[in-house]
Amino acid sequence: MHSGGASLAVDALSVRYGAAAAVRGVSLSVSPGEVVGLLGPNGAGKSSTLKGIMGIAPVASGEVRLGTVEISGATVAARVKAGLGLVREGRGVFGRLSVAENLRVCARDQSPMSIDAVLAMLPALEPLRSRRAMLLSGGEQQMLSLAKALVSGPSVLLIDELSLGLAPILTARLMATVRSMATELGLGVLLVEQHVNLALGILDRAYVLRRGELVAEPPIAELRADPASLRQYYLG
Amino acid sequence: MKTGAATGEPLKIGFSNLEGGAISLPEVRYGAEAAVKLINEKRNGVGGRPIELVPCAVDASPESSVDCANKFVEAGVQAVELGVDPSADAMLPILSDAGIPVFGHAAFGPQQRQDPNVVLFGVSAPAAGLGPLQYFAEQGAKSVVYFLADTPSSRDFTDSVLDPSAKSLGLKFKVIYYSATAADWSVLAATAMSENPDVIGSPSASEVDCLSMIPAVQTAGHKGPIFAAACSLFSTILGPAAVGVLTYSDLWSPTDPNTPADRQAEVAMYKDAMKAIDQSQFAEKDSFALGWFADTMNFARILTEDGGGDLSGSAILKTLKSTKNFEGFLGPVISCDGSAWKGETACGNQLLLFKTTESGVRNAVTDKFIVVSPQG
Amino acid sequence: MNQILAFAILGLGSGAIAAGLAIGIVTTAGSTGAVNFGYAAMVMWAPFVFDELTKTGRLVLPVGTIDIGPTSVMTALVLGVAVAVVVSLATYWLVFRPLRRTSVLAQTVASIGVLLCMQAWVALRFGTDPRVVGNVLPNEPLAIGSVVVPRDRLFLALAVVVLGMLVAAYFHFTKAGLATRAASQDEVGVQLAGLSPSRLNALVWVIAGFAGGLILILAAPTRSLTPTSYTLMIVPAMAVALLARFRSITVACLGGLALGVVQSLLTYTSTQTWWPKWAAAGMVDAAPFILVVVALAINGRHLPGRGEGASSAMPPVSRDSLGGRATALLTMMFLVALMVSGGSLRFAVITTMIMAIMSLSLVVITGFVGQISLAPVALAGVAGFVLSAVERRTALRFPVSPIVAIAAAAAVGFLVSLPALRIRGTQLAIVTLAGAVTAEQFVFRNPQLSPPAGNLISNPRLFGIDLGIRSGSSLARIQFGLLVLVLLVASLLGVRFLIRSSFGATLLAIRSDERAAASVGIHVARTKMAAFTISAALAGLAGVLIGYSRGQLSADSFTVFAGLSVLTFTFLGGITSIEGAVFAGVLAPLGLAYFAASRFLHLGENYQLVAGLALVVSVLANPEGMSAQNRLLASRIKTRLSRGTGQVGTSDA
Repeated sequence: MHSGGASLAVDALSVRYGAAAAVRGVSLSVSPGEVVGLLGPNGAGKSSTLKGIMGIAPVASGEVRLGTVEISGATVAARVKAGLGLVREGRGVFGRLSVAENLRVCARDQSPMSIDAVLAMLPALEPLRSRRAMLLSGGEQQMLSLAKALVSGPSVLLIDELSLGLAPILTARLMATVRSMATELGLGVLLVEQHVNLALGILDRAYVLRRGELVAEPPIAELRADPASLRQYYLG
Repeated sequence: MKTGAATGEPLKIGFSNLEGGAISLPEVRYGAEAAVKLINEKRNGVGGRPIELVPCAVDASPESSVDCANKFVEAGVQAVELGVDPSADAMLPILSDAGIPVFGHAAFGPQQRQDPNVVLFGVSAPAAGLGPLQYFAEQGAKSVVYFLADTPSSRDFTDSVLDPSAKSLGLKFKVIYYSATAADWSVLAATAMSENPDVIGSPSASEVDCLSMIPAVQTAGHKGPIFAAACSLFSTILGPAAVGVLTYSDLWSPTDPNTPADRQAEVAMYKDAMKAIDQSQFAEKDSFALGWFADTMNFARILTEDGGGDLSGSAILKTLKSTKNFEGFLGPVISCDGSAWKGETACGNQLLLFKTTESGVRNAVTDKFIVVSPQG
Repeated sequence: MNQILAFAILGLGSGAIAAGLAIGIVTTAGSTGAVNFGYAAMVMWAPFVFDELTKTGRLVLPVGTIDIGPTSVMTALVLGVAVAVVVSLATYWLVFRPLRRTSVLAQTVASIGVLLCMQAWVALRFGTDPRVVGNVLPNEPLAIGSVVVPRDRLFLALAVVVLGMLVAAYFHFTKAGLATRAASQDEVGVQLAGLSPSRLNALVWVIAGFAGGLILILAAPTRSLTPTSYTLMIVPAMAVALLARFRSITVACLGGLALGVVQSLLTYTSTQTWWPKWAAAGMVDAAPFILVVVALAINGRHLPGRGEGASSAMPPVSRDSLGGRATALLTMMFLVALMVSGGSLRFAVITTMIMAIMSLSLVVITGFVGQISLAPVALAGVAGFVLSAVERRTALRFPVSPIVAIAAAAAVGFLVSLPALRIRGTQLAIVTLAGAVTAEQFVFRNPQLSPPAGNLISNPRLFGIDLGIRSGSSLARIQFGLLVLVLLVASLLGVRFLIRSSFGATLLAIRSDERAAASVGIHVARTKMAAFTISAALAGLAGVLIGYSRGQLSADSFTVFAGLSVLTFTFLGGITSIEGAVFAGVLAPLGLAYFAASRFLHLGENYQLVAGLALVVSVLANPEGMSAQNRLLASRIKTRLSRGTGQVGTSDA
């Protein structure tokens, strides 16, 4: 069941690994077409938040809604079917399969995005269709990771550290692609990014996380004017 | 012979047999039990002492046999009768140290063929292999192929007994060894056929192997006689393919109309005894029960005829081994003093060959036991 | 030439069986990481159901029977395969799925439980009398030169090739198949694609049940149908699956067929007069494994299979196990047990101690080095047989002869370690299995090495004192018991010393991460070889003591299945700790648990079924084996005690 152009609403989400609380009562939202940043220092719980929303980290409490559909207790597969997608940290690609096969696994019948359409948005992958994913370069793998998430036709996309291990030029290009996807497809994007300056250009809004808690929602204009001002939120 | 029920102190006989596992042969024990009941109730036991069978189930592993042997020693048995126990060799050191003699029908392992503490009433393994060769040679065969399980004792047996004997009999002879677990019988049959033999068979194949061997050999184009050891299952399962197949036994068959008239009283005794323990279905066909019925009867008779006095382990062994020219139950004359076959614990060197008929019944092809003599 | 062609075609029959089963093994191993030793026993429901239906019209299910009446071959085939599929799916759901995140070792042991269970169950439902199955494929004889070949061999080969192609096509061209392959490396990734790895894996087990069941029905007319012989078909199938590195369906298919052809040709050539005598015995059985070892040696290093990646590492190791106090306590316990017991109970105590040494051998390799080895039992056998041979051919006696025997086992262990340097995980397990099979065929059953009269071992004597286990009716003399106790304690202390030394630290470093260890200058190869040799020496010691305790040895005590059984009870006892070896000794055949079961439980024909079920349930309940559980219990007791007395407990075991 796909909620096209739906918003993501997260209410008081808590993620716990054993006795350690990684995320404490975080609430946020993402509207269709918005690119929202989830910022914060190392260990703030940004990745865990995304994973908690996706259902691959242990959620202690809280609600997640996609449009009108409550997906808090749903399986990962159900969340994907409802329209949520995740681009994992560290390029989760299926190494032994080719690019085309990777996309084939992730493609869904009900998805509005066909494999060809996705490859049109990421044309660098087109000539690599039959190459095995583990033989791609870092940047190409990151693109594939993005493509895989897109091809399942999400309405909200969670992206975890797109820039990891990539040269700034590549990152900039990818960020631009993300921006245009969000605008053209009406996708909501929640972007976790350590290298804030690379992301600032495409963000509509930003949340700041520190030690598992949401501490601020600074206006983007302020951040763009003075990126160093972010530090105050990091150090508190 | 005194008749009537025995009332003295029981003579404990341990009985190890393959039961309760993937292969289970309770009929072996039924044969012994039927004999024990008969002996105790009608023959005054062994010199007045009733036999008490102490059964122990094995599962073909040496460990289970060792466990049974320990149990037997602790139960204070005076002798052990071997049922079908493929790993009985493992028991021998334990039982001989404890002075408990062992008797049985046929050898299931190499050690029991030589251990001085063992007496086997059936025909010796070399005779079982050689006897049929003698018969085939007499019948005019020029070339024979045997299948034998791939074990050190088979190879030794071939080298020391079969090959030289076949030579003296003027037979062209070859042995093809097969793996006990991974045999492909169509390949084995084709290999045998490449020798163009008159007769193909095995003196020691198991029931399962016989079932595979016979059709494989026939499919491979063999038209001559097939010799299927002492197997019996194939005659019910293979239908028309079983007709004409030869088997051997060291006892007359209770279902064979060719069994001589003077042995029919024994046949009746066996059938009645099996009926008395409610297991007559085994007496109506060829089954293992007969072999162990016969062994137990022989055992009791040998000890009783000796006077049945001292029944300690060493005395029993001595008595058994002094048996000479004794007519076994439904069997030939046997001698357990080592004269039956040099170096073997078996008492017999005579056997019968049977041919399977359309009705599945087996007829002996000779009217007397074939005496097997070592050749060359 | 015609002869060769004819024998080659004949060999396709058993080749097709090995290939079909190997396809099934590769299918489940490649996707779920589980190497299922019980696979053949599992899918053999198919030919049994088929045979019963065509002969009596009765559909005999694992539970319940339905009288259907006369059934056509096609219907019976469909129903037979359906039963195999259901059994396969149920086994996945109940056993392998719950264990999917545990160690490869736990899954291996569980699969042995499945083997025992299925074999016993089939025997109970269908009886143990062998069956001759009617023809399924066209069977008219085909004459090739002077040899007559049944036509169905060709159809069987064709069937297996088609099956292989279909299964390979599934994995390469369908979305589900691709996703299954992806899931074997990255389960979360597949979930994120909106798919359910559980469902995909279930489908894989359905395919495996289908493949195995179908091939066994088609091939059943070529082999007498008994529960035991069909269960054993797993052995050559494993060799072929290993050749396929548990990944390639194509190699599994073609390799299996090739194996059958090779075995057939070997059967023929080994009867020829020009064939060397020393190589005549056991070639057919050993062939699969020789092929495997050669192929692996040529292939050299390659990426580890799935078993190393996704499923968790082995249970954690404790370097603190069996402190001085605990060892003293253990020694006292055994001493008291020896003195208080007599007869067969003391025999059980002694066997428990001997098997503890055997398990210790496995603990060193599998527990501490982290590699599954099936070699210890074979090595014990080598030592036992060498002892018997040395005493037969020379004047050497105790204590020199057993030392020679142990040295022989250690030397063989060293040789076994050489292929182990490049291979890990399940693949190493199968290679050591190969070694064990080869030992079984070439050493134990070889007439040149094993005399026809059997392998006798005389009582050990030292300075005129008879240390033998038996004398007259005394089944277990205390002298032998004390000898064994001394050797056991020495072994336990020796291993403990080793583990706590820098050698032990090196071993554990290698176990956690070989590459990292190598990068800090640890000589991985040398350490592994040393560990294998030490393990082999312990196994040799156990073998020699088994020999002395029995007075004779038979090859049947050292078979592949004996090796699997030692692995099983060592795992159950706790394979990563020294005290686990002692628990394992209790569980071993002729040990204390066996004694108790034999004297007090009368399960009769249900024994094997109960044992198999108990094994599976134990692994499910305790994927890390018992001693982890016991250690937890012990520490809890200690905490409670120290709380009670208000003292702070010392950290010992």
